[in-house]
Amino acid sequence: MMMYAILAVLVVGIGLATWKAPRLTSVIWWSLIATIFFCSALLLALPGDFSTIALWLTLFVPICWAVFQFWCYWDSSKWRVTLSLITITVVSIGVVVSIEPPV
Amino acid sequence: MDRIRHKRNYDLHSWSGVVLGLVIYVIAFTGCFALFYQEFLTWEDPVLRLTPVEEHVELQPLVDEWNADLPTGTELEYIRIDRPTEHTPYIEGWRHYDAEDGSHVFDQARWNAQTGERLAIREQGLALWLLDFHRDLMWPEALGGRTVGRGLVGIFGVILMLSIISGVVAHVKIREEFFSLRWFRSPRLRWQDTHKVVGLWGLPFFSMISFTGAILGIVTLLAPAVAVIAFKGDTEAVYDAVLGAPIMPTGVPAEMMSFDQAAAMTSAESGALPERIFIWNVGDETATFDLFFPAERGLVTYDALKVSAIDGVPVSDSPFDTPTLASQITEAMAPLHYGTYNGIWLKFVYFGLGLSLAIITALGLMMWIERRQHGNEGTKSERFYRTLSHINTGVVMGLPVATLALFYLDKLYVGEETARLATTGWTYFGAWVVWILYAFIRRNDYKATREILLLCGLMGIGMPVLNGMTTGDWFFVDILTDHAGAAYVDLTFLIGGALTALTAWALPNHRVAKQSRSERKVVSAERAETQPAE
Repeated sequence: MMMYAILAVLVVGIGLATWKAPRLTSVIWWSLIATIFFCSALLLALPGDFSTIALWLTLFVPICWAVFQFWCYWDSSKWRVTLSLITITVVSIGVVVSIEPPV
Repeated sequence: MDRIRHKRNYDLHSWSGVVLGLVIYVIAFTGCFALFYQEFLTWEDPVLRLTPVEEHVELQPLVDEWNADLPTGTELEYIRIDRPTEHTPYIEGWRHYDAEDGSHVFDQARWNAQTGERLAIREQGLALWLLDFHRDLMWPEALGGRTVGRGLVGIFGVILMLSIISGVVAHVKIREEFFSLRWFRSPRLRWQDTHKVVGLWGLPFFSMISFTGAILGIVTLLAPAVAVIAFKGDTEAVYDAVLGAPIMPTGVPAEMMSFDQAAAMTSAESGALPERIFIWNVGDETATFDLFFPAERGLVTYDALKVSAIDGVPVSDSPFDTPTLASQITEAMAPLHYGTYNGIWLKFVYFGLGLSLAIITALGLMMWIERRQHGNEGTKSERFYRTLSHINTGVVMGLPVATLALFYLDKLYVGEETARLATTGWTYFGAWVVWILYAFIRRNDYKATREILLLCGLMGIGMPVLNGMTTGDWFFVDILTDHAGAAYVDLTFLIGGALTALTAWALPNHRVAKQSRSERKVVSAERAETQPAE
């Protein structure tokens, strides 16, 4: 119950922060979440030797995160980048749920 | 680029630097000292100041004698033996096992390579602190331990990457700014030009160091998070998929090859003997040796081979078999980051470039405060910016003093050996806090900076004297011997300290704020207005 309460506070807090300051919340929070889920989806979806892909993605994670963060302040529309990062996260979650990891 | 986008990008550069600038400064500065871990280890412990040897004593009797003190039935997870090298002229061993009370034990031993005599292990202090404060901020166990600390350092590496990207984009006249150093103008212009010029010239190094640092840190936190999400929380499956399933012991005892037989195996590529030997599943029929041969191919530190510890036959499907481009690039990250791939002089180049990264970070912070304290960008009170300026001065200038204080503590320490590392930590933070307070008491950041710089210089000069008086090893004698590592540390501090003290001494007593052309015009106009009409 306590966990759900903390989770609810977190979701409401992030929602409110996104509404009030979309660029700042995106650079701090959404870029990180999008990076983690996007890379997880790539790890499952990309063809080839699994451990090699895992190593390439290890190299890709910081680049991806820095690019997402930079994009937050590059795009002239403050909502476009926020919505794009949320979309990337949601689509990536879909990929992670639908593809089974290698045995 | 349109004006609004340029301002947004500039704000990103400025705020990412201001919010996390001091942390990046600390990581950059401590990184300069982390480069010399091996050298400081020899300076720290006089027992390790040994003459390099061509031949060493047999390894197996040393290991057998070492293992004789283990309780009967202890299952060793692994034993690692490092053979003597030019920089570490002694035999070094590690072993890992589960104690009777269920705790994990990491044991270490060192032997004289010529005589086989066991060398006393001194508790870790100075060298480890300087290395690990850079790697993981010595993050306390209560807050998640070193893994969290290392992950945080990796995240700061990403922030530095972001700061570099936005900083480069912010340069609209990049070609002119490469050569624009107006040294005799106002301090603010001087700082601004230095920040830009050093930042641009050092760009390839700063990009490399932030990327490799981010990788080395992120590997412990974010990369596992990515993999665990992909595997829906099954951590063991992640490790098996990435590293391959480990060879499990069967419980059938078998006669193993000795460490000396393993040490006599040569690399098929280079013909070199192994420098580092691991044995896994000790005493079991599945026991294996991991042999690490020194590689002489740029950023590749070792060629590795996995062989059976029963008959020496290479193990098939080992992760060392077929190094891929991805594995080679990943393995190159640590040598690239710590400059270990081309001798001591490369480390000095890294030291200079790392120090310049720390300096431009500090200059960026100083510019941000100065613009608000004395310019027209500030929205808070002058007292607020003055306080920020004192904190900045204290943190930036206090860190070198705290670092140098550790060398003095190391040689003057008289407490229990088990408390050495903890005392090192308290001394480090204690000395740092004292100089932050000094910046507030002094109330003049320029004078505080100059005085602390002078103190740093004098502490550096005193280092060889301290080492000579406490250990009897004077650098001017030892530098001519074949175990001169500690003597070179002394000499470097002597020269570095003298140069620092001279710089501080040569600085003017007061901050000279040379007026800019526009400022001079305003003053002239004001003077003209106040002069009586003729």
